[in-house]
Amino acid sequence: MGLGEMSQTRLRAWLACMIWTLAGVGFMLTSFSGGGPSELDTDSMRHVTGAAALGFGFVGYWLALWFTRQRKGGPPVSDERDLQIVARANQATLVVVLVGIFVLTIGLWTVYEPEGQVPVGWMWFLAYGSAILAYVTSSVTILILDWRMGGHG
Amino acid sequence: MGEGVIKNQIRRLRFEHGEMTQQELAERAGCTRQTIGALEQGGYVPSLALAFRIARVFGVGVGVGVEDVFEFEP
Repeated sequence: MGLGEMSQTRLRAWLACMIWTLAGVGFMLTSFSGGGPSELDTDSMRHVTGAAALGFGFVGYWLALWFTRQRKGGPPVSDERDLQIVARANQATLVVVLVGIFVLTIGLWTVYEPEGQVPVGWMWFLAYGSAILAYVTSSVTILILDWRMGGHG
Repeated sequence: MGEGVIKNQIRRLRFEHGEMTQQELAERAGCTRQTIGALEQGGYVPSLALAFRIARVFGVGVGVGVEDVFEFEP
């Protein structure tokens, strides 16, 4: 199936999945190099690289939205089925991100409870990571739902 | 109690209407080609509004109603 054969929703989901997976890999490599996420705030180079990965994700995603926008006078590129897919994907994404944050924060609490404080670097990791997780989960869920709702016809 | 199944005759009606393409039907009904494909495969149940718009495309001048396109099987 060519790019022109895809609906706007599916094309955007593929692009978002690729862009945010790349951003996520870059962010994870940055976070877990050196002293790990706990020292992310004290290492300015890694801090900037992590922010650059997130920036790449947002700029790339914005460009993907712009290039796949509805053209004036063109045929409809999305409809009620796409709205239903995106709505259901958003519900799933909310749950996945909440569970992800819950698991990480409980893990941090368990590990750092004896010390009485959590390194700030982990908060940066949580903030950046939850944004990336949300976009990756959303795009993957859209692709799965699109397939399950007859999107291969 | 089961929810039932909504079947449709879109594929047959397209071919009976001059082998209308999915894209052509989609443009006339105001939806995407992918939605027409999904409907034909039974992977998607349309809203009432879209069902009426699709029936209207097939029904112009030949008296086809929404019940001739969509069928509810309990």
